[in-house]
Amino acid sequence: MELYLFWTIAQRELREALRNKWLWFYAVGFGALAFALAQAGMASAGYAGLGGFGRTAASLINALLLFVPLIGLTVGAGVIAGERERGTLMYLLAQPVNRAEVFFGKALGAALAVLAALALGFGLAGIGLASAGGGEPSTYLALGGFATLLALASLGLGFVISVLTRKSATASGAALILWLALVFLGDLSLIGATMAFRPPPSAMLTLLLLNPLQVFKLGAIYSLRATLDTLGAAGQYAQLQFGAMLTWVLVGLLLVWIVAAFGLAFALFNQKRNAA
Amino acid sequence: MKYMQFLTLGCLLGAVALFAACGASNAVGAPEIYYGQDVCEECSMIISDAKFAAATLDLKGNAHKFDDIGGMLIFHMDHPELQARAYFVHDYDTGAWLRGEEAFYVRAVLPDAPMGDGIVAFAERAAAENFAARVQGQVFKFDELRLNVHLTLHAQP
Amino acid sequence: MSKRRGWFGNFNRRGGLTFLKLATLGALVAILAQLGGADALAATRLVVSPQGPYTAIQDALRDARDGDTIEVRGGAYRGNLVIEKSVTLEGVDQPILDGENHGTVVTINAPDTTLRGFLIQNSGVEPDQNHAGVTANAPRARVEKNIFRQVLFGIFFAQAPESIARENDITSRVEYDSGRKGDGIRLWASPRAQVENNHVHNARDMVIWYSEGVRIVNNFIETGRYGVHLMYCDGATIENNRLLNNSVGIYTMYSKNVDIQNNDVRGQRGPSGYALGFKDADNVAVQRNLLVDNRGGIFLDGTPFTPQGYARFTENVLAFNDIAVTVMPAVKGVEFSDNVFWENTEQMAVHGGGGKFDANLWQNNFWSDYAGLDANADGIGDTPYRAEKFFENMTDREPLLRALLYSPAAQALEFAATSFPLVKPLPKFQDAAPRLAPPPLPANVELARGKPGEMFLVAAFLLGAAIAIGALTLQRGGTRMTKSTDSKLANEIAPTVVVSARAVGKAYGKTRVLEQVNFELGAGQALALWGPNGAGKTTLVKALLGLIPFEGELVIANLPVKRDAKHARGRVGYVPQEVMFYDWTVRATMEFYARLKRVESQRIDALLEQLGLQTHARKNVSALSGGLKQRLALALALLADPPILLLDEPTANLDTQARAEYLKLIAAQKRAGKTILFASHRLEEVEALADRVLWLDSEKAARLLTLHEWRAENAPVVELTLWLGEGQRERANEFLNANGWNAHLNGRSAVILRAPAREKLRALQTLQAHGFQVDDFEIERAL
Repeated sequence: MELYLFWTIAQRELREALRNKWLWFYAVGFGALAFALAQAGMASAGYAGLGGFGRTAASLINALLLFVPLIGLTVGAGVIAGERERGTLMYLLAQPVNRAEVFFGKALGAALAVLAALALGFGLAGIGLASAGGGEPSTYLALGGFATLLALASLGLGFVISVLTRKSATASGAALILWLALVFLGDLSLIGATMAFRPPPSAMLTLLLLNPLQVFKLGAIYSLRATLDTLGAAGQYAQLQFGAMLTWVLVGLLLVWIVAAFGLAFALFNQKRNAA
Repeated sequence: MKYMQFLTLGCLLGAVALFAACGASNAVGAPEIYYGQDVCEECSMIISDAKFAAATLDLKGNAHKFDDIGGMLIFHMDHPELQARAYFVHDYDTGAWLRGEEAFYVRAVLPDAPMGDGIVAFAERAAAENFAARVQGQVFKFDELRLNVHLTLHAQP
Repeated sequence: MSKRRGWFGNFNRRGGLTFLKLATLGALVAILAQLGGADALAATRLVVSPQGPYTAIQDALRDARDGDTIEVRGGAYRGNLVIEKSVTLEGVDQPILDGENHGTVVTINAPDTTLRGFLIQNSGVEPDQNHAGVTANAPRARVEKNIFRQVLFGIFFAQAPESIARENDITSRVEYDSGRKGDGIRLWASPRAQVENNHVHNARDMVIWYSEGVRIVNNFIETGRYGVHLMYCDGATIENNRLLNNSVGIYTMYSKNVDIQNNDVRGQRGPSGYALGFKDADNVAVQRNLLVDNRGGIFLDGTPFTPQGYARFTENVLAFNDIAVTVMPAVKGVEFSDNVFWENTEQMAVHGGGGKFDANLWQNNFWSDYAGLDANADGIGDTPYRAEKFFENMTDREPLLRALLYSPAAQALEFAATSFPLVKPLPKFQDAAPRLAPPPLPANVELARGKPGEMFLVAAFLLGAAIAIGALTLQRGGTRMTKSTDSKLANEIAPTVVVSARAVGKAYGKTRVLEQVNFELGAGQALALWGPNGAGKTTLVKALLGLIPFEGELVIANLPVKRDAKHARGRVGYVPQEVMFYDWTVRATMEFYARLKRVESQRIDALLEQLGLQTHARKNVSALSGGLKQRLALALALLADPPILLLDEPTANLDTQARAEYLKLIAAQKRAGKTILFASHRLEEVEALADRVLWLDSEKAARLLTLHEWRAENAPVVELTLWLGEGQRERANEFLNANGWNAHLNGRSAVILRAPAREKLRALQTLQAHGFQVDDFEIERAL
């Protein structure tokens, strides 16, 4: 892997991704929503002041759970499939670069674009918070950190989709389906399973942690409120089980998702070598 | 898309296996109490002292956990619909689980007891009598204790 | 409902007897002391200090009489004091009483004893022994202004009625977890005791048991387990306390006539993290408390206990709790009025679900999620407030589901439930007259303060980061020419064999597409890859570029493709049938690939000029004609001045003129010494460029032919369309067929004749010789 080539490709991908209007649509959408939530949460002085920042920011978690994976998945899904569909991928691979440089260059470029979108969204929301007279920078940055990890994990999943599909329309469709599955279907089936089987808290926690969105949620709530007992027995079990390591366990799980998703995508990308 | 299907299938299988593992605990054994975490079903207090903690299994196999033996007995007096299949108490000396039906009990003034009921259990009658002599308490067998609790602790308003 | 009666009665019958005796005795002693004091001397003051007169408190105690004061000056003293006389121990400059990790530091066995102003530390720690900083076993002990450190229990009033713990600062053993610690303050059978203005932190509980009429006032209790645990304490008053970050705030059990007022209870967390809990309590008045950010605000089980008893909650503020009020299903007769329910995640839960809609009375509360109107402007909403949330009802029934709080799925369920009345949840209760505005918060309430200044900085930093990432796209980083590969190139000294293939084969699954490809090419030589579509031309091109695995060996400029595809590609200028470009200008496109190939930008200008593209440099590639696009592709291929050009049907999409021009450009490259491999199925291209031809025919072994051999093999067949004189058509057709030609009639009154290309003139001559008049003809190449 030559860093120079890797960076050249990353830069191209970044330029391309930053021209994706959906990226900005989501980023600004999230920013505006977060801005409004921040204003609403902090504006009414008095009682709101009882809650402190963690409370206001907790209302962002829902918005983040919707937007962050959407950004990651849609951007990721477009990257390889789009180039393959246009025919530019083959030509790029015919240049004196290797597949790893192409793949990880693209991954870095797309990741930077997603980070830019998140930074924009969080920046706008931050102005909303600050102008409403609130905010706790360290916890806000922790929230941003978890959002970044989630974005990268979903970007990786997007890449898996992208490598597996030939058309960007198919890829986008698959990304939306996966998004729905992660955001709604997984949790709905978990709700159903819980009602039916009444699993012990340990099993409940395990099932939660299978979904990177839930991992993010646990991490976000924990960094905002320093406790998970809001989430009932499963949250308490998590605290009991991992104690002071909880944050790092959650960070680690998201990192595993990131590495596994990109690793799988790269393996599949390499395998495609054999098929035309 | 084969990989995706494979992945989904894997996740599903994993989930099913998990549930299967959870549902399989049907044997009559004392439930595990997470001290400092579990809450007494009778008084809603945190269970933190194993010496006094007690538990039951009802006919459906559901576990009920209590911070003291008095709470356990009162809970089941108040909930005839949840018949206990097995009672579990701790040996005051060794901390080992005992079957409540076979234990010997001492009731005395014990400021340390979580609910002030001052009921502790022993595996051996001799140990119970020893302890009773030391704290000026009274020794009961299970059914006697139930009657005593019913008369003294479990009163109508 | 569970019914549990305190067995304080029992206790009185046994333990209480001693208490009565003690009390009587104490009273007698007090009276005697008074009498004695009257005719003897007044109370004296004994001084203990490291310098004397007394150096040990024990000695002073020995000499003291009831009513005396022992002044203890600053310094460290041995603990395990047992006070058997009604004296006042007054610490000056906070003298230290050290129990040396053994037993209770101070035991008070005489009534009316005061202990004030000490630092009391290091009690014993045996679990069942209740080792404490101070244990009082007699009435009216006063323990004031002491500091307790590293003690198991802090203050233990056991059968010490009317005792007072005031202005003490208490922690238990810091190294223990909360279950192993002792209680900060424990009251046992000490009626009318008072606990005031103490600061208790990092201890286990404050236990108040079997004590009637206690007052717990103005204490600050934090980071413990049970902030205040009342059991069998009728007539207790709990006021103006601050409880912060304990597991449970104030838990009231089996007590009646309890007043809980003006307490500030925040951050009680954990499995039973209730700010205020009530179990079988009766006649409870709870007013003007601030219950904020607890897992649960109020928990009610069996309260009120009797049908005629009451539990009244008025003017409390419940804000930001996970669940503001939790009741057991059987709870009934509670009144909630004039409270503020502000942004609790769940306003009210029935534990385990169920419960009766109108079991309790709710009125004139403020609900932050109330959405009704107030048409008559009386400050009361026109429609009742109802707690009817679908997902809440689910979590009430199955608390494990709380794990899915904040999930969009839970919100979706809620939304679905409100949209479709079929699954509308049952309301848990209603407040018929909800307030529209909350009363103002008291001015002295502590509010969380944000850090808007720092927050602005963070926001600015984030926006800056977004811009910085954007700016990364502008960074060019210069083109780095310094590469080891360049020197390698120079050292290669024009190898005689530039490209070679040995026994190259390729199969896709079971289909063989390449078989036995062998060739060697030197500089300035051109090889045509010939064959019909699907013969494997493009496959061979991909193999040469190292894009697919293959059998055999390919070597490009001394670099084996299998092992070093990347650098081998660096020696190849590749032009595909149709390049797909990114949506950039010609120049930007050139620049990108120049960077990938590490070529200086001067080279771009030279190539654009050489290939006649300089006037198009600023155009977007999508605006270029097909011919110009292929020129751009050639320019890209030539960027690194590679020794080899690999062209995959480069003219396939060009018109005749563009094709001719393009061939000229490639021919010029050949003359310049480039080795050229090109796939084609056009005769004239092969004729114009190739020195040799590699004939590919998927399943069969590839054959390497000279141009001459190729021509012979490839002798083309032509199709002559003959227009003959009137009436000669059919006859000519018959004649030709009779003489061994292959002819037939077509619908356009012409004869079609198929013949090898070199026979075509002879056919015409033969026809004319036999009297057929050929008016006109067209020649087409047959396929």
